[in-house]
Amino acid sequence: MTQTRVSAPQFFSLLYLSVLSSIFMYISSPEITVSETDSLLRPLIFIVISIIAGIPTFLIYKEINKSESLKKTLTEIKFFKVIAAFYGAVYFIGIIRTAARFDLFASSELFPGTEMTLFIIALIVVCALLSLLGLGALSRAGVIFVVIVVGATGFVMLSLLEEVDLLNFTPLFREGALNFIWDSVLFAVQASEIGAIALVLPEIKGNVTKNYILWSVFSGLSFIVVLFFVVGTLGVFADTQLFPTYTAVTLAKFGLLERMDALETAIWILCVVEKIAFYFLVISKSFKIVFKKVSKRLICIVSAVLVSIVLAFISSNLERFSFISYTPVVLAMYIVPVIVLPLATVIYLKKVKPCEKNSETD
Amino acid sequence: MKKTVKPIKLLVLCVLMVCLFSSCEKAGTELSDLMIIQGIGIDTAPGGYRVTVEILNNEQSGSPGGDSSSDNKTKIYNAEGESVGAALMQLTTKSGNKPFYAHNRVIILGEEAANRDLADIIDFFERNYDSRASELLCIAKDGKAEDVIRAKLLNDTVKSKILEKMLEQSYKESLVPRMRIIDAVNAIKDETTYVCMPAVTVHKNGENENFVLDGCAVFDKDETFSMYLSSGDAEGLAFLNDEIKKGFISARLQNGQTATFIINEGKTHYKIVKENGVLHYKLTVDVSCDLEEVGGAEYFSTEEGFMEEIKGAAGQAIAKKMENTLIVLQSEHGGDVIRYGRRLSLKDNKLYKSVKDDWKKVFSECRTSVDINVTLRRIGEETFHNKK
Repeated sequence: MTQTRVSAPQFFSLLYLSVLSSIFMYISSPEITVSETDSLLRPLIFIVISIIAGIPTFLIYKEINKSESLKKTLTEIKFFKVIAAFYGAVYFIGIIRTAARFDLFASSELFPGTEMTLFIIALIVVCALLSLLGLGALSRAGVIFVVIVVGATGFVMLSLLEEVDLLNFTPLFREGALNFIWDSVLFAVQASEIGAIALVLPEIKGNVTKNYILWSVFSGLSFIVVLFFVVGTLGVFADTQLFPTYTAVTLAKFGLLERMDALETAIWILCVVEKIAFYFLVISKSFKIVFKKVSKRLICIVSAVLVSIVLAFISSNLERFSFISYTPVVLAMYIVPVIVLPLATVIYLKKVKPCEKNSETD
Repeated sequence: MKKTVKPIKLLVLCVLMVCLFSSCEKAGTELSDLMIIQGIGIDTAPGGYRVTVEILNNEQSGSPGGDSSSDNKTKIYNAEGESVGAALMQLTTKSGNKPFYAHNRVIILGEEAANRDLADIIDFFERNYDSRASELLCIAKDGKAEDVIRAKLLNDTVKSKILEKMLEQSYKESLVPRMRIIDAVNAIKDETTYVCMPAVTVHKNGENENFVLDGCAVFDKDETFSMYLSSGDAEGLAFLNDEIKKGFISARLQNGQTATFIINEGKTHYKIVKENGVLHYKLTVDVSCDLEEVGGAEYFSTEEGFMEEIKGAAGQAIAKKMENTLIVLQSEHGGDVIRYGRRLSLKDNKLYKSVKDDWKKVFSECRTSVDINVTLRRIGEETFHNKK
């Protein structure tokens, strides 16, 4: 039997890898330029937004913990079934987005010109199977992976130090403060995994709030370090590249080791696997609330099949990929699970539920 | 039962690894089926471009027991097309193999090709999946890139590798600037920076030929070739552009003898002020060097002020190099290859914005004053007390 309860640091290791995959496979867009010094400050806004955005999620549990009977009957309430269905749907799209981005990365940088659909489907199957091991196994693997990822990325970044040109940096807020704030918001909404905390919180032991803040700070600082090397080594060239972080890594050399990108790519795959497996776990948990009699295994299999079908449809056409990277879609992917669903739940618990209780007692 | 399942799982995984992870780029692609490009020369052709590539002769070098003496290490192919990309694709029809750019070392532009739009030429390398952003660019001075690729060097070796080493080493010796795809794109996209790339020529050396790095080429802001800087003039670029790595300085002493110094490290600091409507760049260059040789036996004494004299001579030599380079750069065909505009944007963006549209003129009129601080780190194995 796999142990399911995890410590807060273990869980946030998993979440850290998940959010790191976003910066490793960060795609330049006309809306947000990577090459400006402003991009080094955006993670600071990310930290602030993430901490604030976490508040509704933590409020849910504050409300639930007030009533023992509510804890037991929570999954029976229709409202929560609807909320859970929304969570499932959002993270279903989250898997598609992550896998499609990885597909684009793999077919552009790892095996250019190669049809990667089968490889991506295999990845989806692996992640779905991994999710069945539970949050405990994923989080504990996350701790080991964090050591590997941070160690290897740190080594690669240090070997890039010689290539950093300070003239590649630009004056701050060149495009205006308002643009900077909007770009920072678009940058911060990459971390939609924050919303998933609500579904797994009962399984996490320890001081979650403290670890959540630490996670936000470390993630933000990691982004700053990575972006420092991207801007410092590439300059404006970063904006011409589909995956600027990868391009920066290709410049790294250490003695006879000249292809550090191979090392870094292997590590990035770890992050992607952890992220997708975690999302599958969230989907299975969500739909288990909706369809109580259906097993998690079946939910995972069905989700994996559906994701594979959608990916096969998206993979061959860049326009279809563009749709899921469209700014309103990206914003919705963050706002719905991180703000709307937790807030709706809190309001329900605060306003509707006491009324129901009162009417029952009357 | 469990004991047997584990080895079976491992066996299955091993078989999968052998089948899936044992190929180059595409499953089933043999090394000998790839056209592993080492250097690309780009010249003009009627209606487009002519590319000449040096590729590894991997049938010879890759086959077990291959005899390296019987065949050349590389082969040369050329092809023409409407664009650089189209010309490179045409290579397949001549070799039967698919071009593979991941190991390309240098891109050489013929002078005529350089006179066309540089941004147009390098777009292929910017966009191509295999092509690396760190590939080096240079120009074939007064000639064609094909002549450089086809040069008959003394040894049977990979010519592009030799050229790559020359370009890298000369950059490390602060003799010529480095121009990678990244640098070229950054300079092109910058509003005030001009592209400057090393120039190479092929010299006859008896029966054979050899490469010589001969200064560098300056491109205009419309990405067409503008002028050459001689080797001597190019030597001041590293000091002006804060790209001092290693290198050497020869300085004339008061008694007419020469002292040679090896540069260990250097740093240029900038202060920019606007004086009487003209930009004034106040440069402070800190150089740490070792004395390598000094002429004039009578100077080998404990004479006071001798150290100051040789340091001063080294400083003057550096200042002279910088001055010569600046004169050429500020001339009619010159341009801001030393990123003065970029530095101004970081120091005073408001002032930069007010002058950037007329930068060529502003740059040609700006003043530069130089203060050199030389630190003598070592004097070699010979003492100053050694009377000859």
